Amino acid sequence: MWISCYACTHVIADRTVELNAWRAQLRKGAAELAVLAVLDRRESYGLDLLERIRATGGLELSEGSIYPLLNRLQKEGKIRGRWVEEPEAVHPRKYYRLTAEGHALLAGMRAEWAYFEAGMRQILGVEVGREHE
Amino acid sequence: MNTSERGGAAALESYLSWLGAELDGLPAAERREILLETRSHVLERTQASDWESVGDVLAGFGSPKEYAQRFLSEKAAAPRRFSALRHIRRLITAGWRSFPLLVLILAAYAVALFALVVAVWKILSPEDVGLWISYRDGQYEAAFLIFRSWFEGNEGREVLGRSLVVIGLSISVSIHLTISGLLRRLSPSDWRGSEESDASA
Repeated sequence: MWISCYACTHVIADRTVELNAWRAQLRKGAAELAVLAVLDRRESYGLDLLERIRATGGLELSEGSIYPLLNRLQKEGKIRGRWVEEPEAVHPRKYYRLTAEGHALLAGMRAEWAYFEAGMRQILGVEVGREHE
Repeated sequence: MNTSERGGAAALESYLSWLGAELDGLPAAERREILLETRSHVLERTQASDWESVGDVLAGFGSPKEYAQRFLSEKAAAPRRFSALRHIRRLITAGWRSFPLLVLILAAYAVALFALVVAVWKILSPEDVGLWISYRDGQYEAAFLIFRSWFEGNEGREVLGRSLVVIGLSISVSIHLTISGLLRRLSPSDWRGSEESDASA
């Protein structure tokens, strides 16, 4: 009995690990789109961006993932950063905004996302609207 | 500053100096900005909330080594190579205000194309292209022709010779470079560090 209990918890633990790994992959792909989309609406600095994304729910972006992502996007010319010393903020903030390249990429990503979402919905057998018929 | 704040500040500085060491592979300007941004983030976080300490926020980053790894492992795709054509296309869709500029650019490229055609044609068919100067009826006449064999009765000396190839090519190339430079200045997109600004947002 103890052996089967042990095996049980092991299986549950494994599944959680698998889900976590998959979820991490999923989030990683979506994070870039989320950041670009939020920056599209208005200029933001790291902490503010993080909070805006977290506030909408769904995507839990960790502290450690936002700055490496912003750094890469900047190197790729998709966003541009500028340092601002604000009177009410004691510490300098680096505000980011989309470049022309970033806007173009965002538009492309939005289209891709819509396509992807529709495809997945079909695969999972869920069609919006039909359920209410 | 009370004891815990002092401890927090020390922990932060210690974290940042370790992080700086781990980021050694990056250019100095980039490394400096990452550290500055990290410091600002942690300080703003801990000031905004009473229950979060420096240690809590730093734990969210992971160890300095892990955090540095995230920066180093994010592979940046090379920024798309500048293409004059892409910028021109953007100008076309940009609206009526950019129309004069667009006309100017197209005219310049037309001239460049003409110069290129002249240069190439000179190589292929030297006797057909050139600047002829003849003395007729007490006057000098100059004529620049591309398809000379189409015209009859043109005497006179061709004065440019082979140098026309060089002239044509240089005009063509310099127009292209000038326009490219102009377009590049109008919409910069490469990472050259951030712009310094004292203006408030």
